[in-house]
Amino acid sequence: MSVRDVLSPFTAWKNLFRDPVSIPDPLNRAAAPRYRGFHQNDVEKCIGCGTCETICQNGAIDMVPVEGIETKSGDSGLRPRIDYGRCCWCALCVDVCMTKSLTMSNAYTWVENDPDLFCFTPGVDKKHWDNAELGYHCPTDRRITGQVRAHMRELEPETRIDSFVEIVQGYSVEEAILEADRCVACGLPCATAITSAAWNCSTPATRFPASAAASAPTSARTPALPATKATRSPSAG
Amino acid sequence: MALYTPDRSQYPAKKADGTLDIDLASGKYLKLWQGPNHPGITGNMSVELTVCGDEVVEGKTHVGYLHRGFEKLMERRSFIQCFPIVCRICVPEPDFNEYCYAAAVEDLSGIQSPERANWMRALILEMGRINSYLMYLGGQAGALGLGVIGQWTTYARDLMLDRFEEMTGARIYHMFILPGGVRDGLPDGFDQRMEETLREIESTMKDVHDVMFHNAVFKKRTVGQGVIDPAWLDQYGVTGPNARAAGVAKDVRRDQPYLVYRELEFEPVIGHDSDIYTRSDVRRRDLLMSVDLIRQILAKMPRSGPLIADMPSMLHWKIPRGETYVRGECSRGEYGYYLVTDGSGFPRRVNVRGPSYTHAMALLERMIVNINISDVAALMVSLHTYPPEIER
Repeated sequence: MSVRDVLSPFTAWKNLFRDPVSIPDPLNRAAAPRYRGFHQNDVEKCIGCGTCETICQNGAIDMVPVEGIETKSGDSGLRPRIDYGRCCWCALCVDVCMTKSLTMSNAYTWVENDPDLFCFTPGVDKKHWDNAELGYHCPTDRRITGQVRAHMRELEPETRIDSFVEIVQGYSVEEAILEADRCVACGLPCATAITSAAWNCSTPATRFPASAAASAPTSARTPALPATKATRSPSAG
Repeated sequence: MALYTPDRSQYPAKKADGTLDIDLASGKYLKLWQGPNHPGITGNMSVELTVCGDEVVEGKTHVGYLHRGFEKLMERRSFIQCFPIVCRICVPEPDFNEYCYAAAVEDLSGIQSPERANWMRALILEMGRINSYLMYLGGQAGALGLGVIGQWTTYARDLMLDRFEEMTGARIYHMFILPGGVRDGLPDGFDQRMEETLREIESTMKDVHDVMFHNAVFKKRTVGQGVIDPAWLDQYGVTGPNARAAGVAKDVRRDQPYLVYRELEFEPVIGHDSDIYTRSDVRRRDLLMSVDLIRQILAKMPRSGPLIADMPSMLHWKIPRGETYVRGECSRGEYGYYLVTDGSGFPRRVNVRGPSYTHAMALLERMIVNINISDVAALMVSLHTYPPEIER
C-alpha cells in the first residue's frame, strides 16, 4: 500500500472531460456488410428443394405452398417459411442452398405487435430488407454438399465415328459413390438423383465387382474420406 | 476474511464421515443462498452458504439453472448441425467451443484445415480471449464495489464486438469456425480498424491499471485473500490463469502448441502470490499479451489461399469409428472436447471439458470456507467461471 494507491483512483475523474462513447442513434445503426440478419429469398431462383429445411437443426424452416408458384418439372412449388422464434442465425441454410437463392440481409431490427408475423416466407411476404444488398451470402466457391459433378467418360470422337459401341462409359464405383453423395434427396428429378437412386437400390453384390467384393465395404454408402486411425490418443488438435 | 479469527470454537465439529455437524435449530448457524439471481454471482448458478456470524463454514455450489443438455442434443444431430450448438456452451468466449469441436471432427475424419484458416482461427480465439478478460475485469472490480471499471471494460469489449461483427457476421455467437476451416477471410480495411481497437483497449487498460490495480480498497480486499495452494493444482485440475497465478506456467498454447502458436513469440504470464490480486493481475497482463499476439498474427498471416478444406457432403457426412480429445487454452484454462464416433452420421458421445467445472465446484467449495460473506463474490469471480460450462 502506498500513497499512489490512495491517490491513483482519483484519476477516474478525468473522464468527466471526455466525450461520451455511447452510440448516438443505436436504432439506426447499420450492421456490418457480412451481418447475418433476416433472410432474403429469390423465389424465382429457388426450386423448393427443401435442403434448407433438412439442414436446419432448430426445425425453424418449413416448406410451404405459395400462391402463384406452381409445381412443375424441376420445381416443387414450395418455398421455405422461416420461424424466427426458432432461428439461431447460423446461416447453414444459406450455405446449403443449392441454387444460392437464399441469402441473409444485414437487417436486424423489425418491430411488430403480433408474434405470428415472425413466421413468414422470405421473398413472398414482403419486408423492408428484401432489396438490401449487404448481408451474409455464401461464397460461390464454397459448397457443403459435395464437390462438383464427377465427369462421365465418353469415347473419343475418332473412335465412335465409325462404331456402334456405347459412347458413354458410365461411372466407376468410386465415381458413382461421389456422385451419389452429392444428392440432397430433394425429390426433384436430375441426373445426380438417378445415380443416387440406382446406388441406393443396388445390392452389395451388384455395387462391387466380384473380384473386389472381399475388400469393399458392405455397409451403406460412405463418403470418400481419407483413411483414419481407429482410435486416437489425446493430441493437441 | 477481514473478520477471520483463529478461534475455531465457534465452528461445527466434524462427524465420523467427514461432514460437518451443523445444527441449524441451535440458532448458531444460518443458511444463506447467494444466487441464482444475485449481483455477486457469476452467471446463473448459486452457492448455498452456511454461515456462522459473518463467516462461511460451508459452501455448496448448485447448478442446473442453465441446463440445456448440449452434449445429449449433439448425439441426435449430424456433424454439421452440431456446429451452431457448441458456441452456446460458453457465451462470453464461444469460439473455443467452435474450434475444439471442429478440431475434434477434423482429427477423426482425417481432414486438414488450410493454413490460412488456422491463422484466422488463432486470430478469432485471441480476440475472444480479450473479450472474456474484459468482462472478467469488470466483474472482479464490480464484486468489490468499483462499478466504473465494468463500464470502461464494457466499452472496450463493445469495440471488439464490432470487429467480430465485421469479420464473422455476428457479435456474440460468431459461428465462424466450420469443421474444415473458417467461413470467410478478413474484410477490407480490417487491419487498420483492429489496430485502432487495440490501441483503445490498451488505453482503457492503462486507466484500469491506475484505478483498479493501484487502489487502496481493491488491494486491501484482495492481497493475500483467496489463496490457491500450489499443491491443489493437480488435485483439483486447476488450469489457466488460476494455475499461472500460483507460479506454475501451465499454458496449452506453449505446452502443446496448436494452430499457429509455434510461430508466435510469447511467454506464459505467471504470478507468485496466488491470491485474488495476483489472479487479476495475471489476467490483465495476459490480455495485453493477447493484444500483442493479435498484432503478430495480423503481420504474419497469409492473405490468400483456401479458407476451408475439400469437404464431403455435410448432409451425408459419416465419420469412421474412433475417439479423440483435443484441447486449447481459453481464458479460464484448458478447454477440451472428447469426441467419440461410431461410423454413423452422428456423434456417439461428446464430452466438453470446461475449466469452470473444476474451478467453480470442487475448488470453490474448498476455498469458500472461513471467509467473510462479503468476500464470497470476489472470491468466486476471481476463479473466472462461466456456469454453462459446468452443466453442458
